[in-house]
Amino acid sequence: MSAGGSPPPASAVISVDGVSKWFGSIVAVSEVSFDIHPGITGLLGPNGAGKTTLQRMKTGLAKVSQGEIRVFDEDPRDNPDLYARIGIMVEHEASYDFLSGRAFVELAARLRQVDNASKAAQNAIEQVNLLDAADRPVRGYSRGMRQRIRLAATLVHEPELLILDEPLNGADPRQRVEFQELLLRLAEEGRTILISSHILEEVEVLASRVLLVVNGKLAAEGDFHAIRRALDDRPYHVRIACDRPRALAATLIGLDAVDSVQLDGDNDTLIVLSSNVGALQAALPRSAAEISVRLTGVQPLDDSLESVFGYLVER
Amino acid sequence: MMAVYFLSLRQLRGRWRIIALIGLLALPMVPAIVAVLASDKPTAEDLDNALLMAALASAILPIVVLTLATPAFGNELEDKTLSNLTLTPQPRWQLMAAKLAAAVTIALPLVAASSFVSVLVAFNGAELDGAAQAALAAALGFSIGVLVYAALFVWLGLVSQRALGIGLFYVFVWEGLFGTFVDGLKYLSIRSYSLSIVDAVDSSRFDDTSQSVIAIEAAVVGAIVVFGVFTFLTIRRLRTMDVP
Repeated sequence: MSAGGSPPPASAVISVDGVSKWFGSIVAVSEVSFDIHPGITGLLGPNGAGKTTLQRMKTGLAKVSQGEIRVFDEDPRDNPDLYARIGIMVEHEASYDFLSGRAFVELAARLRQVDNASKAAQNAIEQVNLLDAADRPVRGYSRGMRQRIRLAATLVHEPELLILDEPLNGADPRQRVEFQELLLRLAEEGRTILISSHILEEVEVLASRVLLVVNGKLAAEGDFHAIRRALDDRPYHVRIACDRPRALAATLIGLDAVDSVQLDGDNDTLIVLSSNVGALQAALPRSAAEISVRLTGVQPLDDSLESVFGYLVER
Repeated sequence: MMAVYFLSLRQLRGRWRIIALIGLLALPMVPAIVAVLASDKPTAEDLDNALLMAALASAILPIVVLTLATPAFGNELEDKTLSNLTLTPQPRWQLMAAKLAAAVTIALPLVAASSFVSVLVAFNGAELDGAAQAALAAALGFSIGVLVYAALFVWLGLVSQRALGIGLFYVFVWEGLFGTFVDGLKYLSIRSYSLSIVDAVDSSRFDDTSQSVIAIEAAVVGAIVVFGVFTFLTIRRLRTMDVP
């Protein structure tokens, strides 16, 4: 199901079939297949998972080592005409710093043979809410402003398909909300949007469908909420440091929120496995106080993105 | 195409690059001023050897073009901005043509003016006949050299991150040594093509020099082939490369 609410058409906008990419002996992407339909699709994965390599192959910037990619039923490689229908925002933030924001977007419009480049640039800059700074050189922009002007350049020819690689890097919370509203609006107009990110929460607001890439492979694909539910059920490891770990362990093992407790005698710590971290968080200070144990440290061990994605893959 | 052309002109006309080039282009004026001031005037052979063959053909022409043509795509690759151009419906030959035209637009007038003025001043200063003809021949011959070198160095800037170093090595070793002193290799030397065109426009040039020039027919064919091959290779590279 797409964010725009329209049913998927029979023919995919992007079709990725058994695609691999390797650099010498290093396999960056391995045997990946999926289809993209109108609406917003999130491409999720930790850093180094192969998201950018996949995005680069879909845009024709990089050659596939094996398999086939079709965009609007055409090969995107060495096919400049196709870019009239696609807006692509690559990962790195390079732009022509000596140009003003407006000149940069106008250049993008001219390169895409837009009829009235000035008017199109004005509209695109207005969409990303950067009119106030449009006539300043890009070199003076903050990271978030650079991302917005690059997004304006990506939108300037009103493409049917948007491929955005980590577009929210450097954006502040207000800019994130504006950006999300803009993408949702574009999806409602029937466009196809593929957005890659390593931040789950970033994609959660936008995409109902996600593709999860880990270690160059497609680890999961489908409804975001099913993945989110799996995350909510996930047990967490928490390291607790205190002055009497044995006494605290005996108390904690009786709590519903605690699945298991493991003592680490060398460091006066214990490692607790909990399926309900919220309840553990509430009960821990009270339990420690009841037996006069002094807590000196509480550290979650499973908060890294790699850990989160790894958990989803194991399931 | 015009959008890329004007963008490239802005990229290439950096203040420090232009200042350095103007300094370089003023160097041929040194033998010219010496010719004006010297009481013992240089001969036509002296000026052919020192000014036309050594200063202009072996150094100024290739280095000026190298400095302007390798960054045409090289800077885009270094700054990772090339995708701004390739992810558009612009045909690849137009991207190549715009970059080549921008490099030539800056290099050609500079090289032509430096050649014309230095040769005119030197031959007049040496009180030799035919100064205007010699100056015109130099400007024309080295302008053709700009076109051919630019095609080569635009390609080099696209295929190597060390284009400037490789280009300097090529200029001094291939063009400066092998292409100058090994007769057979003159047919594979852009410097030789330029000198041959200078000789064709002003037949009194290089009559007494130790180095011979190749026939004009061979020079024209060679220049066209080298220009065609490297523009083709640049377009092919743009179509097949993985753009960073």
